[in-house]
Formats: sequence, C-alpha cells, structure tokens
Amino acid sequence: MNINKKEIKGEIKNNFKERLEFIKFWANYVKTHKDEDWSEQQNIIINSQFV
Amino acid sequence: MEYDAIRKEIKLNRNISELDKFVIDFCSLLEEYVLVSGYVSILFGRSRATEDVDLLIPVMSLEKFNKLWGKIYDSGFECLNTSLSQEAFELFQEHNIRFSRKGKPIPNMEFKLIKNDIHKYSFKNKIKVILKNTILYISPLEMQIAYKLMLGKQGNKKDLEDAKHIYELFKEKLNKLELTKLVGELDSENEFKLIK
Repeated sequence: MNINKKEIKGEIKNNFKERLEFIKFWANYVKTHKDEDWSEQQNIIINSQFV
Repeated sequence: MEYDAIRKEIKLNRNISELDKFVIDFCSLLEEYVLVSGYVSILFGRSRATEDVDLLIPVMSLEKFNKLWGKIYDSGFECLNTSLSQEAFELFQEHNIRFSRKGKPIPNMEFKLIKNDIHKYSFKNKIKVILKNTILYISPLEMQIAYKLMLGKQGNKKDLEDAKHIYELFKEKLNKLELTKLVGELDSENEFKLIK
C-alpha cells in the first residue's frame, strides 16, 4: 500500500479545523434559539446512548 | 439561556435528556459538590454524548460517607468499584470511584475528592444552574475553558472542542482577565489561540 503520510496529516488538520468551525456555528445556533429548540436536537444524540 | 455573571447564576430551560435525569437524580443526594469537565459543555448544548460525569466532592468523614452510601444505594445507584462502603471510602482517599444506576454501568458518576488548587478554585467559585425546577452546581466557566485547554494539550481534540463550545457560547460575558490568567497558569496559551 502506498500511503502518503503528509497527505493524511493534512486531512487530519483540515478535519479538526472544520470541526471547530462547526462548533462555532452550533454555539451560535444555541445562543440564538430557544433552549427547547437546540436541546430537542441535541437530545437525539444523548438519548440514543440510553436505548 | 441567561447567564448572570455577577450573581454566578445561569437559567436554563433545555429539554431534560436521559443524561440530565441521571445527573439530577444523583446530585439531589449530595449536600456539596461541583460538576466539572465534559458534562458542563453537554449541559449547555455541546453535541456529543459521554459515558461519565465528573463530580468534585469535599473531604468527608467515614461516618458522613457511610450515610451518603446508604442514600445512594436506597436511591437505586451502586458503586462500580466495590459493594463495600468501608472499602469504597478507603479507595476514595486515593482514587476516583464511580457510581451508576444498578446494573447499568453507563453512564456513571465519577467521584473525585477535592484535593488540588484547581479543584478548590472550581468548588469555591461554582456557578448555580437553574435548570427548570432543579438546581445544579458547575465549575466556573473560565476554569472550565482553561482546564479543557490544558487537557487538549495532551492531544485530545474532544477537550479542545468542549473548550471552544463554552468559549463561543459565553464569550461576551466571560471575565477575560481571569480567563487569561487561568490559561497562563495552566500553560495553555497555544491551545487558547487555536480556539479563539
């Protein structure tokens, strides 16, 4: 297998950057929407752990 | 969500998740505590689950611990480390111990004894969260961010993301001087630059 480690490192770095951008987007959503709204969406992730 | 930084109080009207129910039920048994780390980010909307909730507890006598142990077991929880109160107390002096609902190890509450200055700071400066009709106590947001940045230094991206979520959510109301001071004390300036 020919693995380009430099390319993979770049992908990891970009992935983290994109995740931080989404966290900023989501935090802004939480700030600008009612608690009931964002928590309803978030609870889908949390409650799935309890099934 | 409303944060009153002067009164150290946050009013939160989120829909209660199964994780919140677990935390509320457990914390209602405790006289003094402060919730720290990942659950604090999740409580305020971070979109992730967790298997454990970290809780700081002040030093207590064996007698007080035994009483608490009884309340915990009577309320349907159990210790994952041992079923013996005396042994749990001894373990607790050196290690964290975990409690969960009986027969369901996930999620669990990780009991940590207040030992170091970071713990003491978090306990002393805790914030009251009014969640519908319940009250929970959490670590101050500035410490929450600085501590998560420090953990992120070890390479755990999840901790940096938790710090970023709290920072973005409350940045207009954070005590910037205090945050900068704590970030400096925890040697996390580079990680702070990453999330700002």
